[in-house]
Amino acid sequence: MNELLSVRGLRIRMPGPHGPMTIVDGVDFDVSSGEVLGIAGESGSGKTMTVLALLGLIPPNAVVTGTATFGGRDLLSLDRRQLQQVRGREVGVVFQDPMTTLHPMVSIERQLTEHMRRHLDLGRRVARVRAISLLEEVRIPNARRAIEAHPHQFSGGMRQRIVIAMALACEPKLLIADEPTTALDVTVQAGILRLLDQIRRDRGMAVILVTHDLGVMSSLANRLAVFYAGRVVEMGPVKPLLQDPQHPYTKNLLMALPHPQQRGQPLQPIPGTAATPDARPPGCAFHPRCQYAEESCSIKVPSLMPVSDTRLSACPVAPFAGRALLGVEG
Amino acid sequence: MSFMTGGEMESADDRADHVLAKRQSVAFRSVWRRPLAVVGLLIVAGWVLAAVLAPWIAQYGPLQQTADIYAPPSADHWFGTDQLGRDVFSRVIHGSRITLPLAVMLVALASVVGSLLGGIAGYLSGVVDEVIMRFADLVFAFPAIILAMAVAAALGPSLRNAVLAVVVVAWPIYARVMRSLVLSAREMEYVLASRLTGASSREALFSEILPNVAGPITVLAMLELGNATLWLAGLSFLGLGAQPPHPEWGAMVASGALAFNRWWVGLFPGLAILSAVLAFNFIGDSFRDTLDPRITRAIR
Amino acid sequence: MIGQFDVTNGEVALRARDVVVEYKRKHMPSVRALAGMSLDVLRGQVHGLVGESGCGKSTLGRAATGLVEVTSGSIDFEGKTVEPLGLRPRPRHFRRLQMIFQNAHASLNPRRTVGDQLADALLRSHDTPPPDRDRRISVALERVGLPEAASKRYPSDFSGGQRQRICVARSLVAEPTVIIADEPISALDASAQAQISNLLAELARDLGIGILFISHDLAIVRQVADVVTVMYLGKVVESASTDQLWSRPLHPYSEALIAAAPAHDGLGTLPEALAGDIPDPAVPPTGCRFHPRCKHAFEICPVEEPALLDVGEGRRCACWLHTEAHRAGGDGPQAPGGSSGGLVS
Repeated sequence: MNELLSVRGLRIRMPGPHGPMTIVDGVDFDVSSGEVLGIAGESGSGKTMTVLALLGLIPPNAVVTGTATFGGRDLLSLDRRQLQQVRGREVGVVFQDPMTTLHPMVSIERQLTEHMRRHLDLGRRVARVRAISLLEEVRIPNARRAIEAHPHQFSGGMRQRIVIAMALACEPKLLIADEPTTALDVTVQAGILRLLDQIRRDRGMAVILVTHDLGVMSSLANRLAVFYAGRVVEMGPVKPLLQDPQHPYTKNLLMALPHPQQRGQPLQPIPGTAATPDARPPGCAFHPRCQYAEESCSIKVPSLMPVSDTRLSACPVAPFAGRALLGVEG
Repeated sequence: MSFMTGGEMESADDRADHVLAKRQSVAFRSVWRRPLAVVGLLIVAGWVLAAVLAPWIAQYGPLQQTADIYAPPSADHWFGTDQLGRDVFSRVIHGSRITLPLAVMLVALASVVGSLLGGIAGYLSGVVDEVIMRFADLVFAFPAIILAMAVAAALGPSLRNAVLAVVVVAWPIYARVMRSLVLSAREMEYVLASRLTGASSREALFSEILPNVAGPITVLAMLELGNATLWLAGLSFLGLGAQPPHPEWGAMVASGALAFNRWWVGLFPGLAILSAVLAFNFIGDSFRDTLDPRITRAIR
Repeated sequence: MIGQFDVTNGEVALRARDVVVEYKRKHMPSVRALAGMSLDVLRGQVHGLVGESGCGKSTLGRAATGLVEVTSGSIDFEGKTVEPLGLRPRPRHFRRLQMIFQNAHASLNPRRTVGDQLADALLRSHDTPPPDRDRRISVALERVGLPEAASKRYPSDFSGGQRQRICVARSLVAEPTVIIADEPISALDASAQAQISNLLAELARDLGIGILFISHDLAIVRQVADVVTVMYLGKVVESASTDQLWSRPLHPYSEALIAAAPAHDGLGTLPEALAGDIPDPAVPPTGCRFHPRCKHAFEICPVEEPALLDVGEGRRCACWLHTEAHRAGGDGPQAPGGSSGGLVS
């Protein structure tokens, strides 16, 4: 397995109204080439800050510790100039709102070719040809005409495709997508999901997909890391994780979602409200809401432990969790 | 993990802790911890005291003439005397009773008139909005001091007319800000919800919208106090405001300008104006930054 | 079971007929957010209204409450036609038609206590004496699962899901017979979504309130709605009971919409994509609005717009594939073996 990206001990803290807040509290994960790692969580879980830290885009008053090893360097210790080299050239990004990436007044051609030319040192004509072929790859019809147009002439779904084309322009090894389809209609989302899947296969890229939507995760991700209150609570291959969750938060989250078989029955919310960074419960952050909580849960922060040869879970007490292969005590 | 000895790793984390602690102490300071605000408040407090205690602080009456014409600063006359032998220090102290209360009154008047007009324009839209905003634009089209001069001259030079002139010039900024605040508040779902329970437009405007726009308008008024002081002093300087022998600071600077080599006559009143304007600006800025930097910075 | 259709509840409380809402624009063609749509909301029933951007579902909600003016057609609430809201207070009769908005944050006045905001409906009705007011506010808060003490607090003390519950309580104080919920859950986390959806379904079942549940989230609508209306570009394309719609969608757009939603079963199936883009509502396609993206489109589809017809079993559909008159072979070319639709009653 090549580990393209290796994150260890990532902690992000910021000043808060009642004292410093910990947004991300010691997160470890790896991403290998060719795989899609899904980072799942609700708002306030720290999932977006995590990837922003990798890109050097966190707010200026945030303090980051830990390492993120990518291509032999630690992304978290690069200076601005070095980061600019990495962003766009080796790591491509797709954010939720295409209009935060696309300049409304600049032609598509210029937006696509601008950083291609800077990072890859291409001439104008070569860059243009590449831009057209990128637009074709993301299935923009009439790529030759599209390239002269401006973002406002496209629909939301098309703009997101253009953003994906921009992210791919310099052939990055890693693509980070933060809620790439959340703002899109469901039929348009389906098209983008298929596109992302296709691109990933064709190019053998690694992808970090950040979203709260477990349906999107299920379609695209190979492995899933579930975030709650700034920590990873469960991690493993997506199918067994969604079908047989080992951590109470994951289990409760899946139970709260609508299921076709349960038509007409009440949905099952999780008691309490989600932990926020400025008011995190002691010990396991989920314990106040957990039906399996024991006394030890409010004292000690459980660490992420293997519960099978492919699954990690940060819950030592869940009775439903299998403790199979490794003989780990529950 | 990178190759680091225990000692090195500790210092990286310690450094991070230290940086965080520093940022925390800066980020959520209350308004009272901001040095400039404190300075501003002290200055204003000082002038308020001066205004209240003027007869006891000042050695001489503000209109009291002596034979000691154009005397430089001395133990007898801390700020010297002017062309009629009047004690500059006493006049500056008494001047605080004119300029400052008038500036506050002026801002209060302009903000009430402007907010009312702007609020109506924003809520009713249509013709009413157009008419009010065009009047505002008319005022904005002129440089403020020129327009104020014209109005003051037309009304006749007096302190009262100077105040009116500045109100004419100052109200549009409040109208414009209030209008845009009301326009966005009007679409807020809590306003719609109150209409759905049976509130009339007027009720919605007063009970739902107004409490939410009072904050930004107050901050604006504080920021405008500095301008008001300057305009008022400026009109008096030009002879269109306070008439002699009133010890209004602007008028005093004017008489100082006629006698440049007697630097004390104009300098001290000028410094008084400067200190007041700076103080208002410091206070206004700090309140703006504390309340909601994003919204209120957009106002100016 | 939620949403069980209770015969005694079934009267039509809100009726929209051929509603057109047109916006004029300067120097540009006008846009029809609603191009002639009809639906009924019955007491005690959760009526899901689904569709994507530009379908007009939110516009219908706003037109029904008078926040937006109807260009032609009518919307009647308990027999009386809704007039657009002017400067005057909303007529009493219509105050039993309440609304919940998507943005729970902006739905509550940050400067007033929860209790004060809940009391508005009581004060404006003028007929509740003060001691009763507090009681009714507590009852409403209890009904949505919040403690009485909440009435003294300010909205900023509550989470998004709790705020939305406060909004539901506020509408309950007005003793509504219909609540229009315009994307009530989109901005909430999964657990809060479950709570609010359950709450709305309970209100229908227990209090006989008709709920118009406007949402783009098909999975939630499927779970809590009794009947569903599907809209596309300002018109209704299909309307049926929830079970009917999911087991056998008739309109190709309904089919595509259902197939496009990804499932969280871990199986890794990619959802079905729908070709093309949603057209600009100012320049809708000729004939059937959906035809440029429809797999089954044939000769008549770009020419003439299909009407919304009864296709049996209480279902309605606006599609040439399911139109009996066409199938009878009278006027035009035959459907190329379309799916078996129902008979026109």
